[in-house]
Formats: sequence, structure tokens, C-alpha cells
Amino acid sequence: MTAQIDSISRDVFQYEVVSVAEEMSMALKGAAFSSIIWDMLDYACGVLDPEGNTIAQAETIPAQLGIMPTAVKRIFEVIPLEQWEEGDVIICNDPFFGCTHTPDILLFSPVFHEGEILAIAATVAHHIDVGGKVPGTEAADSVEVFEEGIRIPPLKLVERGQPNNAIFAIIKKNVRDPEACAGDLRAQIAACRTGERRMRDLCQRYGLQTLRALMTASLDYGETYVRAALSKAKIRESSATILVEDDVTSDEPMTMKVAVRIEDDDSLTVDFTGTSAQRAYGMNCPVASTIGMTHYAVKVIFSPDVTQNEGCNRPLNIIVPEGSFLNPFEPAATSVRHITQLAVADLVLKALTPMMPENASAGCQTSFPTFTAGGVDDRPGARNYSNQQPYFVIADIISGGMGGYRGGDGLSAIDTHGGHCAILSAEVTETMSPVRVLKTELVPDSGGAGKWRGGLAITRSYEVLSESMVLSGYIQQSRPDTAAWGYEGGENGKPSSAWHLPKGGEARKLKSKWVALKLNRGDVVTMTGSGGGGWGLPEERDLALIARDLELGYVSEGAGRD
Amino acid sequence: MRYLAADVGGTFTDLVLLDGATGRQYVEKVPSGARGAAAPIAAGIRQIVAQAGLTPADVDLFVHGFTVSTNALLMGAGAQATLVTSVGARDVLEIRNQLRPGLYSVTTPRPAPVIPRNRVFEVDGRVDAYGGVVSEMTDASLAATVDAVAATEPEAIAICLTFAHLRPDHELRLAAALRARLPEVPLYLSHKVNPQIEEWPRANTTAIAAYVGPVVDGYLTQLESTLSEEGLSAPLRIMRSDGGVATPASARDNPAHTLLSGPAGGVVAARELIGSLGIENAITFDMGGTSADFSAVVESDTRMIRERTLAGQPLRLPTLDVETISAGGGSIGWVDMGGALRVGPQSAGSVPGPACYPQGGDEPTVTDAALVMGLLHPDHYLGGRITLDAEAAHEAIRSKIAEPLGLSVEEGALAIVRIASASMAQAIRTLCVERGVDPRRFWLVAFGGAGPLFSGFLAKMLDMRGVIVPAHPGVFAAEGLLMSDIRHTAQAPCTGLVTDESRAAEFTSLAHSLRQETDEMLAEDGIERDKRSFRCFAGLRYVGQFHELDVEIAPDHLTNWDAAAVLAQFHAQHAQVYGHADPESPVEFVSVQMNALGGIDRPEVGESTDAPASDTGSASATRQILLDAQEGYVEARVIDRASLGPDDTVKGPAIINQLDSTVIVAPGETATPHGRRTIIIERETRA
Repeated sequence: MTAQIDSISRDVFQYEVVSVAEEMSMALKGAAFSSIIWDMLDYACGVLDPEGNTIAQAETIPAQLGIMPTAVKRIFEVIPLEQWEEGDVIICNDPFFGCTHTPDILLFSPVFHEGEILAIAATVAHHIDVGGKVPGTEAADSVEVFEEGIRIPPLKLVERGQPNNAIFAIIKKNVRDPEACAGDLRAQIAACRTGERRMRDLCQRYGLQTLRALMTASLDYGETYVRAALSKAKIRESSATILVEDDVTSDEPMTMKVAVRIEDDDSLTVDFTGTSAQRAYGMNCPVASTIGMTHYAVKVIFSPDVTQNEGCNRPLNIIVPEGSFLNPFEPAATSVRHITQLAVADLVLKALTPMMPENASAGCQTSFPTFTAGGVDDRPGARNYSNQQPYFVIADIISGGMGGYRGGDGLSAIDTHGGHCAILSAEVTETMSPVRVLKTELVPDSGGAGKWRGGLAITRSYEVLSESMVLSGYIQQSRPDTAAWGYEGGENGKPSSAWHLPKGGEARKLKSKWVALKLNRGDVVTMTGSGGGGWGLPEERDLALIARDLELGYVSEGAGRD
Repeated sequence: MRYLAADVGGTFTDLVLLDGATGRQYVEKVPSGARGAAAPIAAGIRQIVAQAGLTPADVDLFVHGFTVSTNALLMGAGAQATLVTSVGARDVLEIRNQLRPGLYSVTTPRPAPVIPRNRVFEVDGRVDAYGGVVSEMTDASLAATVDAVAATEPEAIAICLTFAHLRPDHELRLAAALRARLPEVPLYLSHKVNPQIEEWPRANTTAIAAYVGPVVDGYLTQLESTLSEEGLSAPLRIMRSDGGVATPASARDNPAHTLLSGPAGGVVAARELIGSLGIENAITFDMGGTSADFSAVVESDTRMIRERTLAGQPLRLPTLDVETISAGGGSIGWVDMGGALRVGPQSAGSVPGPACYPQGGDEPTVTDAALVMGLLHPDHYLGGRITLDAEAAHEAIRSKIAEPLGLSVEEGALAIVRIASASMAQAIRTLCVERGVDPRRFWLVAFGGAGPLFSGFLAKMLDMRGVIVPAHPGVFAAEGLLMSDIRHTAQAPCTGLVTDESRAAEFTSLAHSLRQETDEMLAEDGIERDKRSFRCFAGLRYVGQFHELDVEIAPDHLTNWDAAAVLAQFHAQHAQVYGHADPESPVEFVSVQMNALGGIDRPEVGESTDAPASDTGSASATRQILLDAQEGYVEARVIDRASLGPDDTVKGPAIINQLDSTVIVAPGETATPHGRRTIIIERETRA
């Protein structure tokens, strides 16, 4: 029996169920131990129906969009829903079992009402370290997943309300900061419990049948909306290719390819056939992330301001060839898949742009220059309360330009697409680590010229204040053929770069990936993001905008057009 | 004692006059007129003192809330300001925190910096993370910077140098050189405006102070001369974002404190009102034409936050914790591609206004819906100032909402209100959950033109205790101005373990000097010694943590430090806010903050206050209203608020009419008038 639902009740319910996800999100953030959750918001919470379809999700970081349904549907293969009991919390982080890279740990818990499961509360959080060969787990030169820390198959972390201490003990033994990891897991459990409680409240108010009908109606609405948007696509077929830098196993970049087709007027096939085979490094992308970033790109183009649920994805048919670096076979390494998934978003956006140009931009930075350093902070003032020189770890992310779009220049200095991480304040950087930020500046002329110019990248220089430290990092888009693409005659953005200036020595350019580079006191490292692509012909640019760019120094005299 | 308040809003300026001699209160509403002009205030003052049979010279204190600074920021009409940073930091306002405005949009613009890039200069000299000097500022760089700044002919100058909050020497030296060259130009120094770590929020807050400073100064100068022409010589006090008031001199010192003062008056008034009713917990709900403001009063205290965002610009100053969403009477309903009804964020504003306005637009708004539902009477809107066109409201809802959704016009109207209420309920829920409180224990204090119309829907959706409607919902925020005390805040960074006695001594010594500093400010404001009070807060955190919590330090702990008590309070507060605490972990100081209050005597408003004026005119004694889809239209009694005696209990469905608002009492609810003619609406059918 299904209750009849009027559309207004459904619309009111969508506010309520989003509010449940947001409450879970606040519970998780409130109880979390790590700054990666507090400051970088690298986590997500959602409410799923018993089939594993997301009904509502709290918006924190797009990288986690749509990971949960892929994972829970694989978990059902091992622990079918009939075996989920009240009070259970199920854990998994296996990249080859529906999850993403190993640091992202997913927890699911059933919401019961009078013996029936009415929903599933779900959370995913990036743990700062899950073991593996380097602090922070992520290493571009990992060859296999076995170098990337502990892998947890679907298990009941909590069974009928009783924590399984054996699982906690094994996890804690395998990670570098066991208290933070366990604390963050407890925060995830708290979020699941919040979701359970609030969904039970809703069930009490509506009754089980009506609540189920409301969830179904919400999914149907998401589907209707996206189908309506797809049917307005300006063209029916398109494709795109981009190159992604490797520089670990080979200097040859990989090819990432996609074909997009509108079928039956309102369905969309996204086919990655033609994408390069997986390689023996950490940049392979688990299929859940490939799917998640495809969902992101489709949302940007077709449904940016609608409440996202799994119904929105029903019109999509995503084909990712097995064995490609976007759907690798076990035991591929995947820990730095973030830079690859940014490229997935960029690729799919590039293909979809002609279908609905009004919601699109030219290519954005996907370079994601990352400065991750660790060592002993030997500054006299850094001595801790036990009078010791502390160990420090610092991770900073440098932003770049977004692409120009019809009607506006690309934004400068943005962490794009899947990311949403703040730059570290120069004052905080120097307070927490022996690193002095010498400059943080826009890079004039880095945005691709166009009727609408690409946004500018930034450049940041770090001076080493301790005797030594070890630096790992990576960039993308460091070559003209991988730079952010221009559109409709707009020019490409300027490439990114990374330089090491040893004290008293000659500056040298770093490759796009480097692991464990030793730095000494007085060394300076300068990282520069990539500029966004331009949109439309540069000669059509408004003269007033050209004058403004010169006046404000976004473009230098003599640069660009002749 | 006769106290006068004037609160400037977008459309109207509200005035309230309290006459301590008679215990009577007078209210007046005049059009706000041209932006930033003091003339309409003069007209309002003349009218309200005449109403009370007084002259402007009889006024003993004038408290003023204004929006010139807010408007300057919103409209991009601030001063030509110039900024100086340390070398390498000139793009601090452009780069922000590198986050984008729309997570799922690549076409959403970001607000431009308040000081453009060609008016930003760098000066050398560098301080390190421990306040030590890495390199001195050179004479050459100083001279070049002063020349460059002077060449921009600035109307105001902001200075934000790296780590200046730890060591202000370089900022002070630069300021002295600039003052020598440009003696007329106001200077805003980051270590004064916002002495906190993190360069972007500190620089941005300082830049905004410089951007709005000359505007505030010009307005105050004009106002002071207008007041003196009117013969009003009473001291002038300015409303601040933190719910306190400032002297004109102190408002000029840090004009950024006025930027979020708009919603503050209502929150302060609500705190006082529920206090007088013996109620501790309430959510304030102020709904006007374009937006709705919410704030929580918890255990009789308003809540502060360290930072708020205005026009996309973060402002890091202590501010009353108010959530604002774009849901108002003018919010437009529309049907999206997937067949869902949405309300807002587009608003018809006051021009063209809702479809039912004379020369109104053709978009169906929340006000149109309220008219179709019978909640508003076409002839008695805004005290009869505007006659509403029910036909036009009907037609807009029919064509844009009802037909596309296959609903009747009445169902379409109710749907608009349900969706608007759902989004407001979500905002209240977020506000409550983020602050760790349960809305079901709270009352809803409804004011603003539209608050009491829709409060019942929210209270029901959130299962709240009930609704409190003040005597004059339309001028409630202005009443709050008269309940605010003089406020000063000062803070300083502090480091070290709470358990380290020498660090604790440093903390208490800093606290004493801040107390002395703010005490002098209160003395300058003319506050008597026995009216001055101080609250000291320690910014504390676990070692290794980045976020700190403000823990109040009891006055006797400042003279007699008790580390154990302070730590116990920190752990308890941490557990309440973050859900966990770790009593084993060491705790360190981050900052010391002093809040100084200068008490202002205010006249008692007795029961003899005039009953709120009503204007039910010839309205029939009953009206058909629609509140619930299942129940359909019900017959509601229409009651004149002036005729409501202290013992008259009103059972819903009913409409209580008064000049500046309409109060809806739903079936199952009971409205009871209380002292000062507050109406309390209790819900009988709470779950």
C-alpha cells in the first residue's frame, strides 16, 4: 500500500529531511577531533532509503557527493539488509568494495521503526592518517593499495549497540594517531545516532507508510527535475579528452576520455571508454570517486540549485572501463586520487559545456598544488610545555583560477570542483610550523585571455626556518598541453609550477610529483597554481574590462594581445 | 527622565519615546526617505514629542540605530580607502580564504574587495610568530609607502601588518608617518580594530572599518547638527552589533561595530521582555518584507559570536548571534523544472512589491498568499496606508502557482506559506542545533511587520512552547535601543598553560589592564562608577587544538586565581559545545577579553502605557481564514487589540488586529494578554 502524496507535502518533507542530514553533519563536526574535519570539512552525512538511495545529503565538500550509495550497495553483498539489526553500525573503507581511497572511512546504521528498517544513516569522513608508508597515508608513488594503510572490509563496528572492541583495537594499532582516529570514528557514530533519532521523530509524525511514500516522491522529483533539464540540452552528443600528468611511473601523461550522449530525450550516458589503463602509482581513481565526480559535473551543468538525491542520478548511465585508471583492478594504489578526480570533474564538464553553456565555464585549475611537510620544529619559541622541540606536520593547498564563463571572468584564487579547502593563514602557518610565508600573491597574466578572462592563480613562497624538514607534494597542469582549457576561442590558462631554491644555491624546477624532498634552513619553496581558461575570443573583450585589468594589475602592460 | 529611540529601517524609521514622569510610552513611524539623510529623523522627533506634549529639549537621552554603514557596504558606496600590508601580503583581500561562493556553481561571482588592488601598498619590516622583530622597517620603504599612499588621495587608511596583534610597533611607526603627511585622514590600525591572529579576517575587518568610517563620520556630523537645530541637546548613543550602545566618539573610533546593529535592538528587547515574564529561553523571530532574522536567548542571555558575514564580507568583531535568511513578505513563489514549489530567494521588495500592492508586480508573494488566506484585511494593511488588491493576489497565485501545480488558488496560497515556513523552520532548527539547544523547550518571540502572522506555523512545525507577541511588534527593535547599555570590548593575546602560575599571573595582569582601559572608556562616556560592570573571558583551548572557547572568569578568580575551577569550567563547556571533553589534556591560554558595561537608568514603563492603537475600522467581527489544508477555511473572530482587557482570554481561531501588526491565533491555541499588554499564545496540542 502506498499513501498518496501531494507535491507540497513532498516539498516540505525535503526541507525536513535535509535538515536531518545537516543535524548529523553538525553532530559529526562538533564531536570530531581532527582539523581535516573541522577546518577542511572533508566529510559528508546523508540519509538513505533501505535500498541505499540517498534521500538527502548535507553539503560540505563535493568530493564526497554520491559516494555513499555506491558503497552501501556493495556492502549489501556481504551483509544483506536482513542481517542489519537495531543499534548496528557498519564500517568499510575498501577502495575495491564501493569505497574511495583508504583514508575515507564510511559508517552506516539502520533506522528501525517497529521492527522495520525505514532508512539508513550514513557518514563518510577523511581520517588524517590510516597508516601506510608515509604520515598522512597519501603518497603519489605508492605501487599497491597495501602501501596505503589499513583496509577494512564491511564489518559491524558496533553490534546492537555494543562496540566491537576487537575492530577498534586493530584499527588503532595500524594508524599513526590512534586517539584522533578513534575519536573521529566516535564522532561518525554520534552523527549516525543523530540521524536515527531524527528519522524516527519524522516517522512518528508521518507514520511509516507516509514517510516511505514521501521518500519515494522525493526521489521521483529529483529524477523529474534532471530529466526536464536534460531534455533542454542544446546538443545531443559531445565528447572530450584531457591529458593528466603522471611523472611517477612515466613522463608520458595519461589520456582521460569521455563521450556524453543524450538518449531517449532525457537520459544521459557518460562513457569513459578510451581512458588509459591503470598505472602502478597512487593516482588511480576508485570507481566510486569517478562516479561521484561525474554526479558533481552533471549537477553543476543541469541541476545546480536542486536538493541532491539519488533520483537525480537515475537518468544517468555511467560506463567506466574496468582496468582503466578510473576503475582500477585490485590491488591498485589510489591514495592521491583527489587530483585525478578533479580531472574527472574537469573532463565531464568539458564534454557537457556545449549542452548547457549558460551553467558552464572554461577549464578551471585542477592542479591542486599541495605542500605537505614534516619534521622537528627546533625554533626556541616552539618548545612545548614539556620543554621539547615538537614534531610538526603541515599541509597547505594552493588555489588557482576558475574558467571564464558567459557573462563573467573566472574567479581568481579558488580551490575548485571536488575540493573546498581554505588556504592556511600565513600567521597560522608560522605559528604551527617552522615555515615562514614570504609572499602570497595573485599571478598577473595567468588567466587565459578571452572575451571573459580566466581567473588568476596564486603563488606562495615558503621559507624553511628549522634545520631540516621533509617535503612531499604534487601539482598538475604544469605543461601547456595540460593547462586549463579555453572555450569558444578563449586561450588556455597559464601552467602551474613548483620551484626549490636551496639557500645560497640556484633555483631548480620540481617535477609534477615529488616525495620526501629534504629541505634545509633558509631554503625557499615556491608553489604556483594554474590560471583558468578564457571564454570567447580575446578581441571581443570589452575595452572597459581591459582598462580595469591593467589598472588593477590583473594583466600587466604589454602582456597578451598585440 | 525622558528617553527617545529612533531605529532606521529600509522603508520606515521607528521612534519610541518613554516618559519616566508619567510611565507612558509613545510610538511613531515616519518614512525613512533618502538614504543616509538625517532630515526624516528630525520630522519624526518633532511628531513624537508633540504627541507626548513635550519639546525636543525635554529629552534626556537619544539612542539611535542607523543603517548608513550597512548600506554603504551593501551598495558598494563606501569611502576611497587605501590599505598598507607587509611585503608579500598585498593580495590578502583578493585571495580571501580561497573558497568559492557556490559549491555547485562555476558561474557565481564573488564580492569585490572593499579596497581595490591598485590602492594597496606594501611596507617592509617583519615580525615573527613570537612577536620578535625579524627585520626592521627601513626609512626608505617607509618614505616610499607614505608617498604612494598620499598619491591615492585616500579618504581613510587601513593598516594591517603581519603579526601586528603580537607587536604593534611597525603599525604605530607607519601610522605616525602617515599622520604627519595626511593629518586629516582617519587611520584604522589592525591591532586596534581586531587584535587577533589570521591576516585575512583581521585585514578585512580593518579595511571595512576604513571603508565605512568616513560615511559614519559624515552622517554623525550631519545628525549632530540637525539635532542641535531641533533643540535636542540630550546625549546621543549609537546602537552596536553586539547589543550595546556607543558614544559618537567611540562609534567613530571603530565604525565597523555599527554594521550589524539592525537586528540587535529586537534581540535585546526580546531578552528584556521574556525576563519580565519569568521566561528564560526563546527564539526571536523578526520578519519583514525581504528577510527574517532569528536569534536564541538561552537562560536569559543573548548569545555572541566572534564573526559574521555581511554582503559576502567576513567581519570579525563580537556580534549578537543572529541568523538571517531571505524569507519575507515580498518573497516570490515559483514552480521549478521538477514541479516543486519554491519561495524566494527572489523578493518583490517594496518596489514593485507584492502583486496585491497598488502598482505591485505580477509575481505571487508570501503577502499575496496571506491575503488570499484571509490573514490580512485589504483595507487595514500597515494601518491603512496601503489598500491591497485581493483580485491581483488571486490572479498571480492562480496563474503562477495553482494552475501549474493543479491546485485551487486557496491551496496554492497555503502552499506558499507552508514552503516559506518550512525554510524558516529549518533555519531555526539549524540555529538551535548548532548551539546545542532543543527548540521544543523554547518560546518564539514574534515581531516585525510579518512575524506574528506566521509565527504560529513555525511554532507548530517545531513543536515549540508557544508564541509571545510584544505590545508593539512593528517598533519592537526601536524599544530595544532603550534597553541597551553602553558597551566596550577589549582583548589581548595571551599564551601559556592555565596551570602555569607565571602565565596565569600574566593573564590576570593583562585582564587588569584591559579592565582599566575599558573603565577609562566608560568614564569618558560619563558613566558613574557604580554603574560600571565588567565581564572577563579567557580564550582557552586544549594544547594542539586550533579552535578556542571563551570561558567566563569570575571576578574573584581574577584577584585569586583558581586554575582548577577555570579548567573545570572549560572542560564542561567543551563537552557541551563539542560533545566531548578530555580532562587529562593540558589547556592553554589564547586570549583575554574584557566586556565593559555602563548601566543606563531607564524609566519604568508602567501598566498605564497606552494600549496599542488599533485600526479595525469597519472590519466585520469575523473573517474566514485558511490555516490548514485538512481543516479548510474556518471562521475566526476579529478582535481589536485595544479592546482586549487584561483578563480576556482569546481562543483560536481568532485574529487580533492592531496598527502595526496582525496576530493570528490558530484553532487549538489560546492567547492571553500579560503585563505591558504582551500577548502569549499557548499551544494546547503539543506533541
